[in-house]
Amino acid sequence: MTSPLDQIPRLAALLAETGIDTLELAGPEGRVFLARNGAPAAPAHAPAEAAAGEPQGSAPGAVTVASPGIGAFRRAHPLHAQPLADEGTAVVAGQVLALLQVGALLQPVRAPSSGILAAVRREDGALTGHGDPLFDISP
Amino acid sequence: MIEILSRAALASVQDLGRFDAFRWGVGLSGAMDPLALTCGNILLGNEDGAAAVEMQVFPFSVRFEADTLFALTGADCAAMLDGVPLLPWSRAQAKAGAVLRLDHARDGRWRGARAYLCVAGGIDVPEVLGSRSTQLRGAIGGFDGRMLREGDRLPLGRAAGESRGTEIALVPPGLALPLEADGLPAVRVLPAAEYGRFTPASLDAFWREPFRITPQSDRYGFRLAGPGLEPVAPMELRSHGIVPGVIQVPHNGQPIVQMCEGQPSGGYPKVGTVIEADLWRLGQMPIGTRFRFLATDWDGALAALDERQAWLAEVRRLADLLSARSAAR
Repeated sequence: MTSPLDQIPRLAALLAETGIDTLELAGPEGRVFLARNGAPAAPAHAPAEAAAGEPQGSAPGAVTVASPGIGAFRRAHPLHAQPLADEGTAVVAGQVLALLQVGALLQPVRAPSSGILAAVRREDGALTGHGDPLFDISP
Repeated sequence: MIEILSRAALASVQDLGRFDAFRWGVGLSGAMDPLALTCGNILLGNEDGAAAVEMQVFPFSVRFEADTLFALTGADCAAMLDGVPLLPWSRAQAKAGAVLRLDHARDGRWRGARAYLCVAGGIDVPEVLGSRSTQLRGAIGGFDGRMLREGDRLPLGRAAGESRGTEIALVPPGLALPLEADGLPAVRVLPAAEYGRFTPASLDAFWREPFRITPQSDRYGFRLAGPGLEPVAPMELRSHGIVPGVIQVPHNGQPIVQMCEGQPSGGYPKVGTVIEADLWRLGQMPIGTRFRFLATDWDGALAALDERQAWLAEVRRLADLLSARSAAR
């Protein structure tokens, strides 16, 4: 597996083409923060706050589902009123639990393991960042 | 290759249509919902007009003979890939041998009548007069110039090769670009040549009252039921060129909207034309739908097309961005 650090020159090049002056990438392995034009510095590499499988203030044995990307957290598909997964119901590994919306794009959030959807840890519609805890699944 | 497993009728290979063949009396054909076809192709990194399978009778199923990246758009048919549910308007990876099954179109905040199966590289049937769309009237293009049958095996083009791993779906344009009038779906209409030759009272009702799509409606044209249009005096016209979207008024006064498979000429008086930017809305309305006509003008029609193109450009930008991001991982 390649290290995310190997991607920094490419990311810096992509950044240079845009008007963006800070870029933060957080994932299971850590966090990368790129800044230019004198934007304030931040820790270059810190442990990620949350990742799938890492319980965080949740019931013992529960698996926390971390956000796989950024966007507005959507419990239901925009076509339907019914949530994709109801709190307290059984879910199976791979099942779509929610969506992250950026403009017209929707990215699915899938269950990392089977179990009971014990808790929803984010408000419907809330802006969500990579790694934010979204659900707890108890075995 | 993908193999058609269903006996369900009326599915065909379509692209965005045969644009340059009117001069030979060959009509447009193409997808009834060109926006859905384009969206599916954007999700896959295809050319906007790559050929796809248009399905209008369900359930419908196909088998992928090789690993295939595909996208499903249009009507929300609770699609399953080997029993695993797919999101509406999404792309997914099928393994060789996987079976994709679409059920009846579901109700929701938007309901469509036609679904599109796009594949990376497009359906690779030969181009005929510049298009891969099936032209039923002339039995040309598409797959042997006909609707698909059980057992047909469709060749796929070469995919662009670029990895597009991240799963993504789109907010259907029926929600992103809604158009309603007094609680009913609507389409915008430009007045046509004989507009002024109908009585003011019947034209008033044309704009005011809803119309219903009757069961005598298909890819050729939609016969509508609603307030009748009355000519000021009887009209007999010579045959003249017409395009999809033209609203003809036969002697019984009940309008017919020419759709994708419409003939390139006709002799009925024309009261208006559904604008190009809104034809997909009509193309997705199930039989029985009640809808309204909204008056627009030339500038309004162009602005509507610009709005649609801007939305598509944004979808393309976001899809490419997310795909580039996943490829960089």
